[in-house]
Parts: sequence; structure tokens; C-alpha cells
Amino acid sequence: MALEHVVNVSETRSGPVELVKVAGEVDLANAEELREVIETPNLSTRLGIALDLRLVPFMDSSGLGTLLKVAQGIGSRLVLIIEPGSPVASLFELSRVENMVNIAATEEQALALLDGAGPSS
Amino acid sequence: MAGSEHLEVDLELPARPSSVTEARHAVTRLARAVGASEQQVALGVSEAVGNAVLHAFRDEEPGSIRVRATPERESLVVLVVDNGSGMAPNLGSRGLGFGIPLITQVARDVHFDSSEQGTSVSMSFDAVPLSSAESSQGEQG
Repeated sequence: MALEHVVNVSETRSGPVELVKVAGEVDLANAEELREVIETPNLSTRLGIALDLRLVPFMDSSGLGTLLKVAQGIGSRLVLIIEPGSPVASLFELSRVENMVNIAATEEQALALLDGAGPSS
Repeated sequence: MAGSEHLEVDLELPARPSSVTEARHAVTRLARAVGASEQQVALGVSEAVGNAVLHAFRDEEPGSIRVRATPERESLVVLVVDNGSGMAPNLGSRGLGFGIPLITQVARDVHFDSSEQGTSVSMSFDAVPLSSAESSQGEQG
């Protein structure tokens, strides 16, 4: 079950941000693929990564573990875009890891977090 | 009542990651048919089968995992059984240990039974009462 993903770059005041949009379910079968998508070789030249998970209809703890391990490595340079009330949002709430990774509801909020300006209202 | 014999999932799957996806899709389809929460069922099944794939055969050749899902009264009962070596700490595990806590949060009446002959996980999910589901199936027929 291959993950579809699209990568774009968005410029902020502080530098370029890698926008990665992922589509498809994430489970044990492709969690490693998710890690490969995130750990872009361009990261060294980017302010950070905004990983858009709004087109991910399902994720289990395999995907969650992948995201947390990546977040542990790059910290505040990773922001997840998650639809409030979605299955992915629910997974984070059930796992009580919302405070372990930066989460935004929109691309604009994610870019603001990475730009260091804080979440926009 | 004619459609009730189809309201069941019974799969024998190899212990490999793709089986997590296959099991989840099959049981989620049944969940939809019997009015159970697809989101909760999907996560519970994915975690239970994923645990079996990751941990059941840590010291041996991967075996098989059986997944059965059956509507019972006002519940969908899901049973995941492996013939591995039972539950034990797995320091080399790829997982972060979220599986069991997640299962206990999305399902009720969760039971784990583990021995050297394997592990079984039983989970129940609220569903539309069976008579209502069968009536609905009959109306669609």
C-alpha cells in the first residue's frame, strides 16, 4: 500500500520550508515509507518540514511511532498539519502525545510555527 | 435472516505487515455493515494484528494469525489469535508500546490470553443490535 506524497517548498521570512503532503492510510506495512518521505535530504537547507496529514484517513501506532522518532531527531523543525477531529487527531489524543510534537490545523499555522512567529489566529 | 451468514470475518493470514492492512479492511467492512464504529474497529484490529506481526514470532519463523469477527447481540466481537511464543518483553521491538493501551481505549471487554503456544486478543465494539442489522440486510435484499 504505497503512500502518495507531494513535496513543495514555501518561503517564509526566516527561510524555506519543505511542505510535504501525504495521502493514504499509514500502518505497519508502510510506516517505514513515511519515515523515508519525511527524512528528506533537503532538510539541511530548510527551515523545517510541514507534514500535511489531512489526507491520511487512518494511522495506527506504527505511523505514530515513526513521527515521534523523527520529531525526536529534528524537534521544532517538524510541524504536523492535522485536521481537528480526524482519525489522526484522535490517535494523538488517545496516545497522549500531543505535547511531544508541534501540531497545526492549517498550512498557514504550520508555516507560522516554523517561521517562529507563533500560530496565527 | 438470509444475509446473516455473511456477517462474519474469518481470516488466516501470514505474520507479515501487509496482513495488518488486509485484516483491518475486512473487519472494518463488517463494522460498517453492523453499525459499529469503523474508526475504533480499524484502530483496534490494526493494533492487535500489528502486535502479533511484530512480537509473536520474535524467536522463530513467522507463523500465522487468525482474525475472526462476529456480530453478537449488540456487539461486534473480534478475536486475533497467533501461534507464536506468547507475550514477553521485546527490547528490540520496532514499536513504542502504544498497541495495548490503544486497544483498551477503543474497545471494551478486552481480554488477552498468552502462553508458549501463542496469544489471543478478544475485543468487543458496540454495534447495532443484531436483529436490527439483519432486518436492514433483509430490506436491502
